[in-house]
Amino acid sequence: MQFKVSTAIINLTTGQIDYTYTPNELARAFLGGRGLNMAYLRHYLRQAADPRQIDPLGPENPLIVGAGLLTGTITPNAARFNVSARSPESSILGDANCGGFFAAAMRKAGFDRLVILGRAAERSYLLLEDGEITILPAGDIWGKHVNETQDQLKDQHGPGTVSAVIGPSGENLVRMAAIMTGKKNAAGRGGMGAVMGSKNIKAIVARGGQPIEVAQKQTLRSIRIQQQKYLKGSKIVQVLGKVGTPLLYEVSNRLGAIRTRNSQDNHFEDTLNAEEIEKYVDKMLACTSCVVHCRHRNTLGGEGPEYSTIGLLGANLGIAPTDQVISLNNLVNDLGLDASSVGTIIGWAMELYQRGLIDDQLTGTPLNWGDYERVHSLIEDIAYRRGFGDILAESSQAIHSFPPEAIDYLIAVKGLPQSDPHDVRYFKGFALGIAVASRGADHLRNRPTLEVFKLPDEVRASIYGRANHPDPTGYEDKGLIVAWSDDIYAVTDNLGVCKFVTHGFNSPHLLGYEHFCELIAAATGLEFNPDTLRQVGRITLDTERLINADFGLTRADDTLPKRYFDDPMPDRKTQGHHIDREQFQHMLDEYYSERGWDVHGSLPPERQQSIDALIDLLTAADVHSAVISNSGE
Amino acid sequence: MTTICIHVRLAEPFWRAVGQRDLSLELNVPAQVNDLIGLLRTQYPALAREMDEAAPVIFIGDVEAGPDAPLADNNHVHIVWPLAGG
Repeated sequence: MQFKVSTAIINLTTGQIDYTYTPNELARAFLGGRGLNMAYLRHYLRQAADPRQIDPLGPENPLIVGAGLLTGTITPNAARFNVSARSPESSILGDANCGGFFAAAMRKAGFDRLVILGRAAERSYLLLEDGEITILPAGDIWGKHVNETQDQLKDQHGPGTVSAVIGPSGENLVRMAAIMTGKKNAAGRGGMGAVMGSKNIKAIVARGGQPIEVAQKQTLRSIRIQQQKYLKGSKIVQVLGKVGTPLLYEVSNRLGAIRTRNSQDNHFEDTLNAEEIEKYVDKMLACTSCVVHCRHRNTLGGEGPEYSTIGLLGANLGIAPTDQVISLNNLVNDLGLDASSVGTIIGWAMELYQRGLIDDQLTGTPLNWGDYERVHSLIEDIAYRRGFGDILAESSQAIHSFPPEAIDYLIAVKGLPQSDPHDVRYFKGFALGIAVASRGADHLRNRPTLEVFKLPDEVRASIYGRANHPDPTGYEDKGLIVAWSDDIYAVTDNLGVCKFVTHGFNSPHLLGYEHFCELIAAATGLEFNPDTLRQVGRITLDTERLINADFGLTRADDTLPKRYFDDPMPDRKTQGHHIDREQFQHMLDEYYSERGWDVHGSLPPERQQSIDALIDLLTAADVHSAVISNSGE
Repeated sequence: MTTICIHVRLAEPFWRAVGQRDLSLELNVPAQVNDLIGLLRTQYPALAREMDEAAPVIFIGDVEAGPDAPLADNNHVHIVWPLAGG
């Protein structure tokens, strides 16, 4: 089998669709998923005279949908894809990672990656089938919610159809709109749904029938059996399969690390514990090739909620009743919104209202903690950009409608609201992680979760490559562990594998570089060792840094919400903890050093040149693709 | 008083081995956290197996407690598996 990455470049403005392959040298350097998306994103952004002038919601913003290298194969938990563009929410690198069944179907339809350029003249959707892409009129699916849209597309195109769609939020260019597949799987972060809406694309429909080529079928099967057995023996995998991520709520809450009422408080009610959520669980579901089964189908008509949603639509808004939080979860999913951003932004607005920084004149009606009915209607207003909802639909950019001091209460980094409900003032590595994460405040880029385990010194040294300080509440060696986490999570994203089976995420076991090397060799024939595979993580991080630098980001942007520096945590074990500004700068120095960046957070010029030389292979490929292009009509 | 009553709350995944979230246990004085854990292990072998697989963290009230921490009558003890993923 010859290793090749099939890519379609779809120009919606002209209707031209080029079917091509990613240059092998480039594909080998980034592998797929998030990493290869970043290479394409940089390629297109560099074509602009000034990337800062690119309107994230304009036709000049590329939207890139890329499956992981192993996605759709029998690799454990290889279901994932990334969607990347300039973010309309943060105005920097936008990138969202998603599970479900869509990415496998996309590959089986013949495509590893879609690069969507321009804007369709009419509301449309894309049909991917048997190696061909057709641009079809959206008709009456435009305006429909997420679930109804997918149901209708399935009726229209038959069984086996899997869609990635936007809801009303994406259509209305809400800056925190997600791209959804299934009832809950969301490419949620950074407003990728708004970018898709701005291109007049309602859905990408995949009908897959082509087998995904594998280099050594029997070997891959043997590895799968072996790794599945290993993973199923893991306690965390077993527990996630029983109760899902809600199990994390009680742990964080007991510690006093649940973001509550916009982080004014740090603990909340037990009504959001996993066993309360479980009362509404119909059954546990899985994504493509998953061995964990962590996703709930709930009895209120949706899927979820995850820990993040429980925290951010529950504790963060002061809403305690379990059924209300699940209902809000189902609502944001069906409207196609990012639950993390919505929960954070509404919590921010509630605190501004509490402090009298905004009032009924702006909000229309009172906006009080715990008011479920008000939150429910406000979420709908955000999706449809009505009244005060239209202001909040701007996400962190709503600051332009608020008094300047409102920024002091926004829990966001680089314009992206924090993704998870963990208050990071206690574990200092968590704080550094969200400060430097390439897409803004996000735990899935680099959270060093092993910090909570109190692992023996020799185990920590073996994982991170050298001796390191065991105190998770101290500042020492956090640059080392965050950089380590950066790299392995980037590799995971590039392979299309879920973090719930990734070494370092919730467990010091699970699948690490050596396991991934075996899988890559069997699936593609590409040879890596743990060191060279880690380099794939490094080049991904470096490319992301270059993209953000072109958007004007500097060391000053690697920071935290003011509250995390200035307000000590109020209660429980974490009481008194906050981030010391000077120590934070030391962590940043160490992190940059670990990454090989200078004190300003910039790459060495020769590193930038070597990365750009690789990415320039796409320029030659563009010429090649023009030769083999077909019309998409 | 020769015995004290300790109220125990078991978090995920421990409570499933016992079948209930809350327990009240009597301990002879003086008693420490490790006495409580020993009693739980004896009375609930399935819980002992869970604790071997997932090392717990113990809180007395809101304070994390080591094995030697003393227990007092009517203390509320929370047994938690430390995790912080997402």
